[in-house]
Amino acid sequence: MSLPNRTTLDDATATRLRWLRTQPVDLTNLKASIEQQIPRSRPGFIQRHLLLVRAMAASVVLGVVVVLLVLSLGSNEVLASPALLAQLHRETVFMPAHGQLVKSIPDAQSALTRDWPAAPDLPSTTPDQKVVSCCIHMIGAHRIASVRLKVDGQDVSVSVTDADNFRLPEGQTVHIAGNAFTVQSHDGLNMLMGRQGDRFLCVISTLPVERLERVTADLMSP
Amino acid sequence: MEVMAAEQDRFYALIWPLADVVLRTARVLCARASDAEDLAQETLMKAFRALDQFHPGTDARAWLLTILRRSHIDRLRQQKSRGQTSSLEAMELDVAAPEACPEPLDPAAWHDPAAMLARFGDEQIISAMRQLPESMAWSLLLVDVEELELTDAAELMEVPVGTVKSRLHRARAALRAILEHERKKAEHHEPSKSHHSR
Repeated sequence: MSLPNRTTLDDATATRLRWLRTQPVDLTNLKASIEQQIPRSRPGFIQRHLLLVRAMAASVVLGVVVVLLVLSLGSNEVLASPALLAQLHRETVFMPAHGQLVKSIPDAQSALTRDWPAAPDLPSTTPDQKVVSCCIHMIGAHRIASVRLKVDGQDVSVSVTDADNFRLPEGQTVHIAGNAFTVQSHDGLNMLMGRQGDRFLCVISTLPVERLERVTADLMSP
Repeated sequence: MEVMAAEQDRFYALIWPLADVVLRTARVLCARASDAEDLAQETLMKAFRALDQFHPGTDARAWLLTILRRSHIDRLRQQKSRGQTSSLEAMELDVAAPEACPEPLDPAAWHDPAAMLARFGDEQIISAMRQLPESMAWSLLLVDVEELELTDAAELMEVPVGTVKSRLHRARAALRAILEHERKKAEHHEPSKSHHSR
């Protein structure tokens, strides 16, 4: 038996080292000492009241969202809200324990299919889109497959599921490769979401919307 | 007073979310947890004082890691001047001690390198990284762990991209050699036990 070539050994080593990023870091002591030296600024009287008003408004909004969700259960669709998808993006980027490091879309597809035999096809990538990892999320009763890419040094998550599972939110629309995509922004993240045939596709990143449109166009090219 | 509060808000919005990157990197550089926390704290405090030099839109992580690296070098220099053991020379001269007499990899054990490497726990990998010369450890930390682009890593380490590439290749090989040495040593001591699994 002979050793694998140097590139294979190096790739495996780099992949193993990447896992160190998932190691939990206990910031308790550091947080205490930093906050002692750099106190968090306390909100003033007006700001405190504004915070209270905002909290009350948020409670009302949350109540409305819950009611809408309950009402929408009949249609078995989940609203692809920007907040929900931003959370999905973060979980994809910080890779859950069940996630898997992969190097290509075929690798990701076969990894996902092992846990979800009916997983929708992932879009194909271009050479400037580096495939990093993949995972499956559960949203309500629906599964959604996500792949983390690196484009221009930035994290990009690409999520796919059956088109029937998600309802698109209202918003500005752009057309990419003949398909309508809704543009959303949330918490510093830009997102494009739309349907391509029977597949729901969502692409999220901190990249500017114009760059994200080009990334999505590349992903959708045959 | 308001300026100070604005700086504090800016610190907690831009810098503090990256505290885990700083502490994780410091943990690899320092064997003792208390030293790692001191180094991380010093780095974050320097970042706070230099916030006006940070340009919004640029990579805050690379900026912080640059401060961390310089703080670590300063500490090593101080240790050296106090006559304490220091790996500063190894860092500056790029000495590759583990590579001088590399442990040959056992082909039977390493035929599936991913599976073999997965058998080592995070602490074993970190311990092996600590045995590397500083310049090699930094290459692995920046490119493999933090996934910085080669150009960013080169700028941060103030060396050409080609140097980072060659350091990376040698560092990965040296890391495998150290791990292989540890594996054989463990097998020698405990032939009936396998390695820790993740």
